Amino acid sequence: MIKKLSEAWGISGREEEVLKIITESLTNKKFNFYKDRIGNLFVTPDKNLDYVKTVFVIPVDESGIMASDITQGGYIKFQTIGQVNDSSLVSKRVKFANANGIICPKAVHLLSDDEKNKKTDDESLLIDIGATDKNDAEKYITKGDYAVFDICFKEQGEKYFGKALKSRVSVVAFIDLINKISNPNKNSAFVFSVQSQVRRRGLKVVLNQLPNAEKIILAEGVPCEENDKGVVLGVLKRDTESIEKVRSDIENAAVKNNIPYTKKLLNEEIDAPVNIIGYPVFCNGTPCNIVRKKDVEKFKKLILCLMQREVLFID
Amino acid sequence: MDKIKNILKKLTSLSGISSAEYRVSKSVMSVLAEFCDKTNVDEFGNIYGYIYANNAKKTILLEAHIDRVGLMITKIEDNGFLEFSPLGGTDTRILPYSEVNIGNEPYKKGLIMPKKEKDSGVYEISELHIDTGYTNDEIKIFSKEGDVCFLNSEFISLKNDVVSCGGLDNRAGVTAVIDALSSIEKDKLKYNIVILLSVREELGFCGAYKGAETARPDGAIVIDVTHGQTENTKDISGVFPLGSGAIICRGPSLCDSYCQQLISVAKEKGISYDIEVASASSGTTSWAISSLLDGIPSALISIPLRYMHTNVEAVDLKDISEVSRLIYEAVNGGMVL
Repeated sequence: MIKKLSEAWGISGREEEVLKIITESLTNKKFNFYKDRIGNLFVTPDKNLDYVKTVFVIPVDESGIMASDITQGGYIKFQTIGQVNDSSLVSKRVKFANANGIICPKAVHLLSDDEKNKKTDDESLLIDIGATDKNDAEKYITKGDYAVFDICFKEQGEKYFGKALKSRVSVVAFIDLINKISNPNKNSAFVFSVQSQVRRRGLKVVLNQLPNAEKIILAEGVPCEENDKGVVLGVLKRDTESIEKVRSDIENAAVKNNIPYTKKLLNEEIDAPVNIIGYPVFCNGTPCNIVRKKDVEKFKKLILCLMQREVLFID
Repeated sequence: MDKIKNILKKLTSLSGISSAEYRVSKSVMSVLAEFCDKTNVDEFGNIYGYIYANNAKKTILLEAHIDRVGLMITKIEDNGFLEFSPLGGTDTRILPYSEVNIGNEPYKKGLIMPKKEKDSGVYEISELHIDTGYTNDEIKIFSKEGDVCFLNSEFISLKNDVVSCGGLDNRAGVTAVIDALSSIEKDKLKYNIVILLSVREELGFCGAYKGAETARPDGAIVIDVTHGQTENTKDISGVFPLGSGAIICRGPSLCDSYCQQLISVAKEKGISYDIEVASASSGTTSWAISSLLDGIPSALISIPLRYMHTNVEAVDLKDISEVSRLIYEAVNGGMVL
């Protein structure tokens, strides 16, 4: 399931394929499923969202590439969507809907000394799709077309390797947990949210529709370093007292259930009272993420504990 | 074009990193055995194929190097991560966050990542290592210091018969040789043919020295790749647009009579070609071969290739086809030794 979702298309703004897989995988008849107008997938026991006090928001999208122009020679200029590390772009394969492409490196033999010591950036890079010239390229690519990184998922040793694991590992965990809920509480809801990579627009639209939500738990991978293990609780610079109180509850649940966790100060501003629970993600913002399997198990265990505390019954 | 594509896809799926070409000898020899009278491998790992003509006294050598650039594991860290150094010229800027294939097929996967992320500047090799997901104890089961690995590179089709993959330098050249000779009519051959798929070209032409001495030919044609033009190399001389056809090299280290004959054959047979100029070393094994024994007259035919020494090298299958046609015509009497 992680492989299927990791390799699926789900770039911010074009999450249809990923959402289709998620919808098909959610089999619990005790929930209503519907999408709002930007694509957020709501999973709720009751159609009246006014009841919802606790919501788990699970981002589904991924970063990627967008064609911004085509050169006379038929190469594609591009912008990145979401968080993409410039160092990770050169010589990677990408997939447009109608063409394969490669982000052009330059042969090492042809590099000037200055170029050898200069970091690449998305403004100077181009994508080669094999087109002979601009007219030829325009048969396959239109400005504004999206491309995802062409990466095959692999499970190896203690880790998962693949694209979009920051979001998709959490998605898989929640699909499994939601399908096991036997007696849902109408005060709780789940939302598979879109456009998290573009300044959390999807989350904002979700919360617009949940006027009474008090506990908002954002569940996704958190960028970490090798030494970070277990569950990660994200700390934002502008956390409020209410957020800290919820986080304290979460920490108590982790301690009580013997689940190791790390608190991580995040360099992100989210204009909503959210608590972030996740698992460490390595190589975030690059075509291939790495996630430890053991961390995912612990993340899932803590989420299960929290669901039970919120009176969501699970078999 | 399908035949060339299939040969190329098969050859690029093989590892054969410089100094570890022995891993691909068997597979490559099985391809040569389909049309050669004899094949063998020497102690260096050079692969030979022999095609004998009826009553021919002279022998022509067709040489293409079989190795590809890669990486060598230099240390297994306590946490199971791998340190490495390059084998052959590599742009270190393409390494961060690239996937690597480790060990034998089915390869173990690894991901090159910085030991510590930095905001500016280019990562030195010493600042990078490979994560395989295995612990120190687990990884030692299938990997040790001195083993080689290479950047993962799926064979993909771009538009207009352009394909992209790692190892096209010089599996594209090897493909041209195989395609040309697999349809040869032995009865019409004027010369015996020795095919030499040499090793360690990326480490200083080592295999070609030994291989050409063993073959002792009367003349040689070397088939390799040259730089293909890209958007950011338009102003550099010595690069050729994809679709240029066979690139015939002229220079003091090469036999100009051979070059002129190849140009004449190309003109006569309608084979697309262009001329490359190498006023010093051509940077290919022709530099080594032409200086061996009492001097082996040599020609160099190249295939334009974009993004050389990366995991996304790109080549136009039509160019391989044109080089294949030129080789075919040359060994069928189009070139007099």
